[in-house]
Amino acid sequence: MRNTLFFKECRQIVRSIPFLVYVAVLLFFFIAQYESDFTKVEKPQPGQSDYGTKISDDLRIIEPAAVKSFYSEFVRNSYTAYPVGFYKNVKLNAGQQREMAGILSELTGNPADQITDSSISTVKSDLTAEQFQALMGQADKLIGGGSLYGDTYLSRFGEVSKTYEDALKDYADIVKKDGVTGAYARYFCDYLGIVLALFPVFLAVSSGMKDRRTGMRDIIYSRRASSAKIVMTRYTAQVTTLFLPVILLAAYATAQVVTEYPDFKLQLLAFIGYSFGWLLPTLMVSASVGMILTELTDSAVGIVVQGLWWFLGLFAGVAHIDGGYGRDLVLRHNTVGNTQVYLDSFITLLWNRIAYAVFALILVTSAIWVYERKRRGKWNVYFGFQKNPNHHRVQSAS
Amino acid sequence: MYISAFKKIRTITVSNLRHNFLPHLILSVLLLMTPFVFGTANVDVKTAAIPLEMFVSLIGIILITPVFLPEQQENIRDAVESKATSPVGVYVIRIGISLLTMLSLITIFVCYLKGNGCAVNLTEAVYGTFSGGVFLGALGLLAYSLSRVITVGYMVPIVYYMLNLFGAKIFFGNLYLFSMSSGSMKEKHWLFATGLILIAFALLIRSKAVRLH
Repeated sequence: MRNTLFFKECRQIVRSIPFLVYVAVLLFFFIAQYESDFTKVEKPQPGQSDYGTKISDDLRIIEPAAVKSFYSEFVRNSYTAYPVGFYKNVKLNAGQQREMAGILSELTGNPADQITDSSISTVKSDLTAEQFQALMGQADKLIGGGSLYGDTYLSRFGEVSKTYEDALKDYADIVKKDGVTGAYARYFCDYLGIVLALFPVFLAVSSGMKDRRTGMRDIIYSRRASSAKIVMTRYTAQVTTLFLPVILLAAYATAQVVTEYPDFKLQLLAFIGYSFGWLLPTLMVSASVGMILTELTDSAVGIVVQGLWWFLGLFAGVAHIDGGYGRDLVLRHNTVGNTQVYLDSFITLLWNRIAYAVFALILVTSAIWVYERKRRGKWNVYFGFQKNPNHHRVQSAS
Repeated sequence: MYISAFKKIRTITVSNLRHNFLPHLILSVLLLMTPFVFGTANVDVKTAAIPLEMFVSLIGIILITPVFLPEQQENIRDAVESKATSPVGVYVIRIGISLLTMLSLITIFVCYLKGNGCAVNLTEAVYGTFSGGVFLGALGLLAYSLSRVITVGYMVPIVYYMLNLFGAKIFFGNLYLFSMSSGSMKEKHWLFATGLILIAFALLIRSKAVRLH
């Protein structure tokens, strides 16, 4: 009896069109992105031609590679940049190109008027690391930010081939530290997180607007149940029903790994654990943004707000797509493995997830407060858009 | 008779602008600001097409999809249907306002890009972005008229957009949304024409629903 409202809400959600669309998109991402890329991680063998690549922080590797790329872009006057993760090709004007020539001259130690000579692509021998960083920063600023020479992408010039020993260590990390399933679970969360950061907002907005559309709001307002109970039950029902397909897919993905790795000691609860720790806070935020903004405005503006956050966050996350995290709502880890990167960034990841879960709960608490005020008739949601004092002056269309 | 019709159109237009359109217009203008986050100066034709196709065309969803929204409540719908003016006529005027606004906003944005040193062709950029917006908005309008749930109306074009973003171009053929960034305008004609057909379908469904009601 106590949970009647909860089950009623759950039943309504699972029967709604937005929920069916959500499940379809979730399945699409699981099948087309995760499952289609599923490959068994094999133990590296000595003498292989390729073991993949890694990023080195050795400036002796980074500096010449960066200057070479800089020179090549300067000659073509075509600079690649990814501001907020978006690809952009920048063409500078004559004055800016002259400034670039000056920077290149300081980097290479060659006079600016000889800078078009193709032989100049080496770094000045007495250039310190600080000077190098500062000059690259200037170049990045001229390009407009997000260039290959800014803080985010400069380290990528340190890409080198992995040795057999490197590859063997990575493999051992996957098997021992991740229990195999952990490595796949992060990859699973990478794709499903993209869906969970956006689609719950539709369900939340739909649920919030339904009362108004069906004329049920006044009836619910007059009920004895507290605002906290109504809003929290609705939110819990949304989170539960939306998370259920994720758990089912996690269970299926676990079975898939178990089948592929019959002789390994696997962490059988890794997919479920990662789903709760990694994906649930994302889902909670998306649903709570929809809930609070719908209560505040009685409109679907939550979709636009969450949609923009999702879109910008998704592209900004490309900067650390293989792990490393940060403050992103959609956490990326688009590779099976990179266990050491995950372990090194674990504290960042943990705080990120706790902060988002707390943020979601703050939004829900605010939604309860707004709901209570509306119930008592103390909240005007239209901010003057619809309660127009000049309304009577507008002639009827008939 | 002509003056009477003109007055009627003017009244519907003013009423729509005052009571329904303003929040959507504000949201569209805000969305247009987003490309400035990553800078729009000195970019080449293909790069300039990225914010146009990926951001600016989304205003179609904001402006066209909610055209039937004011009548979502039964009592308002009943009141509108009892008037002498056909509801479909009102919808057509609202769609016209949305399309004209979208065209104006896109033109302003493209002119800004051009003035900011971007190598864009004004006509192609405006038409390419507008057709994407018309298609996405029309898809939302049709989904809304079929489901009568505004969130479904927003959800369907966003899902289509997402599939274009993450799926292969080959699946979408002539209805691929981001062709301008790869230098092709052929898809834009298809998107524009399909968008208009979808709007016509949405109006047909809505008028039939009115008659059945």
